[in-house]
Amino acid sequence: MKLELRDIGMRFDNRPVLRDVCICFEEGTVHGLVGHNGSGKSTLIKIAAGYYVPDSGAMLLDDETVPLGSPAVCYQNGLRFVHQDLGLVRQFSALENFGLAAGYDRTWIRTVNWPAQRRRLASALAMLETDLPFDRPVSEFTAVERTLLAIARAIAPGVDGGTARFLMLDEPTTALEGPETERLFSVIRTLASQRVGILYVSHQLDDVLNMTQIVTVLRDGKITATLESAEATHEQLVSAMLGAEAGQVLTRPTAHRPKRKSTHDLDGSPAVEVRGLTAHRIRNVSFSIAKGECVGAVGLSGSGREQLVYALAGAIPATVEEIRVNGVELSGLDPRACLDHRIALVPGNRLAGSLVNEFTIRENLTLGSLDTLTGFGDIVNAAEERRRTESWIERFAILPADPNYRCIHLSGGNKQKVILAKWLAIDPVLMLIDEPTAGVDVGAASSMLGTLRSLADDGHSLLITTSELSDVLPIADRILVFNRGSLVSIVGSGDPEWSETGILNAMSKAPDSADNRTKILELHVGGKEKN
Amino acid sequence: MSATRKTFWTKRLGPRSIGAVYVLVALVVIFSVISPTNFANYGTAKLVFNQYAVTGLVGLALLLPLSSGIYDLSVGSTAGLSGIAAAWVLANVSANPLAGVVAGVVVAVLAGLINSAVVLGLGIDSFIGTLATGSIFIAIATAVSGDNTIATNVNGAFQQDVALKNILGLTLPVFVTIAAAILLYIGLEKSGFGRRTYAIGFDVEVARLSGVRVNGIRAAGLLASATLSGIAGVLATAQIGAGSPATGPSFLLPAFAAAFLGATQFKGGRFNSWGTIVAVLLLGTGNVGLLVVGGPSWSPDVFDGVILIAAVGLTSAKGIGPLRIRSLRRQSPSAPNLKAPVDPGLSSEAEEKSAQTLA
Ligand SMILES: Nc1ncnc2c1ncn2[C@@H]1O[C@H](COP(=O)(O)OP(=O)(O)OP(=O)(O)O)[C@@H](O)[C@H]1O
Ligand SMILES: [Mg+2]
Repeated sequence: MKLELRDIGMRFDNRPVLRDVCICFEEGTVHGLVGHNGSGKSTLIKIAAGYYVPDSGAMLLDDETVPLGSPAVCYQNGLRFVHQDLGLVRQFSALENFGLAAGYDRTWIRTVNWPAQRRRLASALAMLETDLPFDRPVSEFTAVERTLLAIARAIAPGVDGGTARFLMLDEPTTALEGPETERLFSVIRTLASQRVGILYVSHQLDDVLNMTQIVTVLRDGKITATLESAEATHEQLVSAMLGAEAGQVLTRPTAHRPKRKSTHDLDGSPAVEVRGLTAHRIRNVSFSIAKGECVGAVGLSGSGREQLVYALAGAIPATVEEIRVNGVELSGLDPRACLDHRIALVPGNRLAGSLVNEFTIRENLTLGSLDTLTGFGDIVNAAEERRRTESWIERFAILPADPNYRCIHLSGGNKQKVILAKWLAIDPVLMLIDEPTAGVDVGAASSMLGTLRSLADDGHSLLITTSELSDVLPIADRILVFNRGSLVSIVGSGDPEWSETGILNAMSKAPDSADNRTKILELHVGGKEKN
Repeated sequence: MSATRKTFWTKRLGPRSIGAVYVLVALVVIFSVISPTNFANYGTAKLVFNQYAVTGLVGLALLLPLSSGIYDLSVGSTAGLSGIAAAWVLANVSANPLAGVVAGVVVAVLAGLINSAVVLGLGIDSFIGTLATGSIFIAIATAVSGDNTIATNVNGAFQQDVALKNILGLTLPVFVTIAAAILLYIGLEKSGFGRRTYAIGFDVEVARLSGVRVNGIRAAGLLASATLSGIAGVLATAQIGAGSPATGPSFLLPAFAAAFLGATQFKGGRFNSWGTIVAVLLLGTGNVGLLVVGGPSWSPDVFDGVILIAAVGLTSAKGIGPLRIRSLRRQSPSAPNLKAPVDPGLSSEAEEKSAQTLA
């Protein structure tokens, strides 16, 4: 059994997004698809799902044409999808969302058979070795839980007993942490051994090389390479994605390692001092960040580091004993106070709440710094706004370079750039950044890290929370390590623990014991004195 | 350069951006052909402008709350209450026209404060909250008027000054509405306030995290909508020459129709003042036209329905509405397939959007 997409051509607003794309998926094979942000990967998958109708081309299942633009027929033919945006209705419970794609079991009078529905979801989740609250609305789920639900929905057998024959996963691991990723991989292997054909899209090139048998590379909507994964190298993929020259420079993000400052170089005055921060899982955490310092925060999932930046920005309920920015005490943690003290929050792009989708690039870019653009009568200075927008677009190479392009259609990586630029526009004292490279292609990820480091060098203070040590090790001056809601250690870039293993060890260190606490305080104060 | 200019203008002026304008022109042509003597003259235009100015003003009043993502269903009742307040003061306190106007506006501002307190202070959903306050407002109006019309001193100097003075046959309500449209145009599309208002309407959470004072802006919107509908109520009372609690509420549905039809024009999906004005003119021209050519009594209702569908249908082919036929979808692939059964790939965004448009 094979699924073939032939000569697919697609334009959005007269801009070609896919050009003559031919790709063929075989049963029992894991097929990788990689490409830079905006190269058309998601569009291709949505065409296969019947969500978009391409301008030209055809889809064939075992040489028989499948009508394009019909999600129902795709489903009947056993095509299953986990889309990049997951396609969950936030107000619906997990169970209701499950039924949306996987169909509803019926009783003999045609009402929904909820017990049967529960059993089907439970068995799908069992494959992923997880459990989720079935009746809670998805809006209350974490990013990890949402992803797991979407995956469970795709791999579950349909109501009519029809099973998945081809499964297409669009960046499924962006929101996942290590253990869940491993579980997903083992599910993929199991499914492949049951003759399911799998398409796996990811920006984690090493995962793609490990997991897949064949990998196809897209660049600007064209296929530039189709390689046997066993023989392909990381460098080959990068140069096929970004062009030959780029491939040599940007083999992987860490290669872009800028010269790191030692803590001693930092200007003495702390830009930000936080004492007694408590929020959700975080309990009574204190730290300070110097001007121009880049601080990473890491920890296993559930350690509290996920909430750190959101708590500081007032995005989630939090209390703090004292927080000072440049010596001035903040009255409380709310977004307006943060803006007034020039604290910026850059959420991970997986998270809703970072861009107004219906707004243009220009409107989003200036939303945070609108006060500096308005003059008499609160009128926005249109010429100045346009000028600033164009300079940000140029500086970050945002594509399309059209200030009036609506953000809803931007690819993930470009959204991330717009968010960063929006907050840089307020000339922040402290930038709070969550997962800077999740869902961003290798080229952009590398330049993103470079950008972040240069922001710190320009005198902005940075606090980066991440699940990838490779996001912070190359650029941070210090790393805060969290475990079970507490700050268990602070590692400086000159310390002997400053390595992947050293920090992983620190991550599993138990908090709470009394001497541990004093040690942290010493570390904390010591760090400050060093400054 | 000139090529991009050209597409810029064809985009802005094409039927897909301003379908309602095309329907309006078509209406004028059709009525003029049917009845060249009765319809095609300045008198008809005056009639449309003067009669529909107040409807337009109530429609404009809705723009700020709707743009900031909340409803104000009390606009009709507020107009009614303000009209009665003006009439009551004229009849019982002072026959000076200014006294009536001031009374109406003060009452409207109070109504706006009450709406803000209920919706933002108590956190009651705006749909329910303003439905409730509106019901109370109209009850007060009925009680004050004793469920009668108040004509004393209303049909005198007040009517003369407020509703009948004119320039080239256009009366004060027309100018008030134009002024409101200009103010709202600047407020929504040129000012920082407007940008923030739209941001809240599209995504409250993003707006909040961007430091926008959500409640402050929504309160300003509710206050403005109450004030404008209060002024509309006073104007309507003057036009009729009598205060009646039934006057205000009749504006509610046409005003909503105008605001929503307006949102599909010019700005593709944003409530805006010129779109609202065009929408009101469209409804007005249709109704007055039918009257002039002598259509049967049921014809205006049918007409309103047909006009709304035609105007929105023409425009939404571009990709804002769910009304889409297959052939159009092939040309504009960005349109999601809404006819298909539940689609697992439909992003939650798209789903929410289509749900909104359908609502
Ligand atoms: N509905 C749409 N209307 C207009 N343009 C669109 C639409 N959807 C996507 N695009 C554009 O098409 C291009 C390809 O987008 P797509 O989402 O397929 O990229 P991608 O390869 O999945 O990127 P990423 O890795 O960031 O997810 C982008 O330039 C995007 O801006
Ligand atoms: Mg994508």
